Amino acid sequence: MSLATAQATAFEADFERFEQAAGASAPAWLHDLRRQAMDHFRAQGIPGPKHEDWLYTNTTPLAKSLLPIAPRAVEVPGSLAAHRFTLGVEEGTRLVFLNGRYEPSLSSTEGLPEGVVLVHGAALRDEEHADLRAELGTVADPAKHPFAALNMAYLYDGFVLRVPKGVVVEKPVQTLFLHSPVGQAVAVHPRVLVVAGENSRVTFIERYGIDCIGALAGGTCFTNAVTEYVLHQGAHVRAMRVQHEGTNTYHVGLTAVQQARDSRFDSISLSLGGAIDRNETHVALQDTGAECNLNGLYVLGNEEHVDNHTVIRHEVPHCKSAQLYKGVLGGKSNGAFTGRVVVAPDAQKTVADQANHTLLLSDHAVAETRPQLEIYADDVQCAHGATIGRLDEEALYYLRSRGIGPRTARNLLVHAFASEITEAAEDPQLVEGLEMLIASRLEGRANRPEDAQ
Amino acid sequence: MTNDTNPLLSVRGVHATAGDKLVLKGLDLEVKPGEVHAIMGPNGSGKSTLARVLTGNVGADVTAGEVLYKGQDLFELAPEERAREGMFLAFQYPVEIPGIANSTLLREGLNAIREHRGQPELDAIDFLQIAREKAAVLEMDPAMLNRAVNYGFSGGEKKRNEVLQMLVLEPSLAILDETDSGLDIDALKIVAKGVNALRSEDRSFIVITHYQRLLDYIVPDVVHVLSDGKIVRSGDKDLALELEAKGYAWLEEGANA
Repeated sequence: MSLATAQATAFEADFERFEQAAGASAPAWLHDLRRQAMDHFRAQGIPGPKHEDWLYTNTTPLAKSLLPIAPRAVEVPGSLAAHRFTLGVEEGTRLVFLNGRYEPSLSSTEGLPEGVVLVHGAALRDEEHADLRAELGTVADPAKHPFAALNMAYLYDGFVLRVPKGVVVEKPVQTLFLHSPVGQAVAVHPRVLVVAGENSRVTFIERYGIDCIGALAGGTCFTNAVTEYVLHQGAHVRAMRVQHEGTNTYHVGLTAVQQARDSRFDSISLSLGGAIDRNETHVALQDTGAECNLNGLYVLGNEEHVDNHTVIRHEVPHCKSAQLYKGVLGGKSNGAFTGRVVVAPDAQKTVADQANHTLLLSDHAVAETRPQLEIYADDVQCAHGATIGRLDEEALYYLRSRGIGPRTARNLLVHAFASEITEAAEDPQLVEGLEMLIASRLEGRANRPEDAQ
Repeated sequence: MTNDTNPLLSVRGVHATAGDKLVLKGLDLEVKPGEVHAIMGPNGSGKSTLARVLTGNVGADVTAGEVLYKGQDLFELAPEERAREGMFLAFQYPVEIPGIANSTLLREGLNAIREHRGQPELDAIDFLQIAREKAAVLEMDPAMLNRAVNYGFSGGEKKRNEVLQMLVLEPSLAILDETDSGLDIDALKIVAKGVNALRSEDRSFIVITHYQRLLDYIVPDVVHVLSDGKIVRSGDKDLALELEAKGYAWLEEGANA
C-alpha cells in the first residue's frame, strides 16, 4: 500500500524540513537511521481500511493530523512547573518531555542505583551513542510497523534505560510525555528503549498527557509512541502505561517486548480517552520459562475510540501468557480489542489465557472483541473468553437499598469492575494513583495531569 | 397487640406482579412502632414479592393499592430514600459484589443515612470502631469487613453479613426475608441475638420465614399467614406453632372452605 501522492509529497517535504531544522544537529548515524526508517514508512504507508489489523480503526483522521510533525519548542507553562506528575509515588527518577523535547526543569534523574544507565535528551543524539543504531528498532521492527517507522524517521528525543545484571531498581522510573498544543496542532514521536539485564528488576511508568492550557485552547495533538523492552534471562519488568491526553487527541502507541528465558513482563495499560487511541502490544516469548501478563483498562465516553491490539508469540515450549483487558464504555464511544496469540509448532506446554470484558454504560456505546488464536502445537492450554454486559441491576438495587444514591452506586460498581486491573499494580501507592485517575475520568473532569495529585 | 400509636407502616390492598404473574392480590398489613410481625406462608405465596414492593419495587410492579410509611406515600420514594428513612431489607439472596469491600458499602450507606438525618459524616476510624463492635455482637471475624461484599461467602456468612449491615444502619423497619434459611441452629441463634439486640420501642421488624423454628428465638407480636397473595390469617405466636404442627395445606383448605 502506498500513500496517496499528494499526501506522500507533504510527508516528504515535512521530513526534509525536520531533517534540516529541528532534527539537523544529529550525528551521521542518526541521520542514516531516520532516512532508512523513512524508506520503510514510504514502502508501507499508513494502513488503510482493508488492512486486517486495522479493521476497527479508521486511519483517515490520523493521516490528516500527522502534520506538522517537527517537534516545536515551547516555554514551560508556569502551571506545569509546580506539578510533580507522580502516580502516587513521590521519589525516584522522573523524566518529563514537553512537545517531544526533554524538559530538565520538570525532571529529576536522582535515585537510580549504581550501574543503571540513562541516556536522554541531547545525549541521545550524540555520536557517542552510535551503537544505538543497531539496537533501536530490533524489537519494534520499522519494516513491519509503519507507525514505528514514522516514529524512527522523526527520532529526536526519548530515552534509553539500561538496568545491569542483578540490579533491582526499587522506585519506579516514571516518564511523562506532555503536549502543549497552544494555538496549533502538535505531533510528537516519543521513543523509549528499556533493557533489563539478567535477573534485574524494574518498574517503568509512561504517561501521556496534555497540559491544561493547551487543552483549554482546544489544541489537538497526535502522539506516535514506540516503547521497546528487551528482557534478558530472569529479568522482571513491570510496565505501566497511562494515556490521558483527552478527548480531542490522536494516539498511536506500540509497546514491543522481547523476552529471554525465565523472564517476566507484567503490564498495565490504562486508556482514558481520545478521539482515536490505538494501543498495540507485541510480545515475543523467545526462550522457555518466559511469562507475560498483560492487563488493560479503557474508560471512554463521548465519541471516543480505543483499539487495543495485542500479539503474543509463543516461539518455544513452556512459556506462559495471560491477558485481561476490560472496557468501560459510555456515551457513543467505541472500544475494540483484538488479541492474537500465535503458538509455534514446537511450542509445546504453552499456557495462554485471554479475556476481554466490557461494561456498557450507555445504549449507544459499541464494544468489539476479536480473539485470534493461531495454534500450531498440539500439547497446549489456550483459552479465551469475552463478555459484554451492563451494570448488574440487582447489585445496584442492593447498594441503593443501603441508602447509597444511584450515581455513587454506579461509580462504586464501575470501580469494582476496574479494580481487577488496578490491583494488578500491587504497590498500594500505584493502585491508589491509578484509581484516582479513573475516578477523575468517571467524574467527567478533564484529563489533566494535576488530577492525579 | 393493642397499641394506639400511629402505624409505622400501612399496606392497603396492594396488588403486584412479578414477571408477568400477579403475585400479591390485595394485601393488607399494619405495623406499629416496636412490633415484630412474622409472615409465614408456602413457597410462591408472595413473601419475597412483598419484601421487594416495600423496599424498592425492583423486580415487582405494583398495580393497585397503597403503602404509607411514616405517614408518607412509600411509592414516591426511591430505594435509597426509603433506606435513608430507616427501611432495611435483609435479602433472601444477598448479592455478591466483587471489588467493593464490605466496609466501603457499609460506610457509604451509613454516611448517606447520617447525612439525611443531619448527622456529621463518620471518618474511617470512627466508622471502623462501630463496625467492629457490631461484628463482635454477631461473633464475626472483623476481617470480614475487608472482604468484598458477600463474594465467596458461605450461605451462613452471607446471612450473618446482612444482619451486620442491619446492626450498623440501625433501621426503623427491618424486613428479614428468610434470613433463617440455610442456617444451622448455632448460626440461627447468633442471627436472632443480633435482631433481639436491636429490638426497641420505636423499631419494628417484619420477619419473613418458612419455618416456625426462627420464631423460638425472635418472638413475634403478630403472626400472619400469606397464601396466594393475601394474608389469610393473623394471630399471636401460637399460630406459628399450629402451622408447624399441621402444615400449610390445612390452612389453605380452611381458607377455601
